[in-house]
Amino acid sequence: MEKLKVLLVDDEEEFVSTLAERLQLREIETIVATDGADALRIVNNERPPVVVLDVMMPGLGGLDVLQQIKRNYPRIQVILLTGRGSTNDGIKGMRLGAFDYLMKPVKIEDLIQKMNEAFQVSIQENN
Amino acid sequence: MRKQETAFISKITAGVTHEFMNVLSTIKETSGLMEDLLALSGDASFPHHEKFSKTLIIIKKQVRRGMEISGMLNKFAHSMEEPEAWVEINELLDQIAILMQRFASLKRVRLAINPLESPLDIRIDPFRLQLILVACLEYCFDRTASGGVVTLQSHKTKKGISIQCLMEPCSNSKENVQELPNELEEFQETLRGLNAKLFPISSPGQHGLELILPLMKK
Repeated sequence: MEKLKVLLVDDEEEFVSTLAERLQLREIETIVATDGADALRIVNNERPPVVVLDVMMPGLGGLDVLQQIKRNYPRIQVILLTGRGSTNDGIKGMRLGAFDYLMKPVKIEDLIQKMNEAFQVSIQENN
Repeated sequence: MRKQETAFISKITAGVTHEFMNVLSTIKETSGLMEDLLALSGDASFPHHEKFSKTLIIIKKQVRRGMEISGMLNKFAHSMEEPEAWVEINELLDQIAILMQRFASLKRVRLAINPLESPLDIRIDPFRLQLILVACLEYCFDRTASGGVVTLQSHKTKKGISIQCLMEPCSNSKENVQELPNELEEFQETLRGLNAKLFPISSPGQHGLELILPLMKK
């Protein structure tokens, strides 16, 4: 049975590594990337079913990364993390094929629930 | 303010508040991890377990507070980006209340919100609207007796949307104000830009200001 594996992408290194550690404590396998290019490399190599992606990143932005993931691997479900006041980015992301968007700060329980929902969709699309 | 200047303030404030949010998010996640680890270790195996738990509650509370303020300031900054936007009245009043809380405290008054019964979106210049509401609030803070309450309340009228700023108790309640106070005259241009009208409220038991906005629903 496929297990939930999540790629977390955020340029705030301490934030993303701490979040990964908290998810691991809850027995969720995580991989971390701190920029868009790195995220795409990991996606190509590991094909995680779910990606949690920060929209505002220097260099290759979250929406560009999302577009490339959906173009090459439509089964991968992407959850966007947007800042408050950046609802437009979330809506834009949904149009580009994001599974959903959550506003930062997000409660870990809400994030896990959303990740599980995205994982179910990813499994269904694989069958 | 010139368009270029507001765009500049908007850009800097939005950028800095975004960074604040990143800092607070990291603190929130780190304290969350500490909480997780504390929960994993039993009470007995971790010295000062209770003290740590209490300290983490304070950190979380202050992070929440910081995020609320930064979030509202970020929204405020973004509100300067467009000369006209759809604004939900209750949301805007909440935002102003959070941002003006400190100014109310400095005058030793409490700021309360009495929202519309149901959410209502109007098409307006959000920056100008906030500018005039803050001016009304400051006017009322200065004239409310220490320990009093300034209430920002909204309701629909035949003329449009009414936003009232009420003082309780007014420090000079005997004064019968019929015309717009001089210190608010300088906001006439802002009012014209909003197509809004501002009136003094001066009746027995009720003192303050009333802003009437045109109603243009979605």
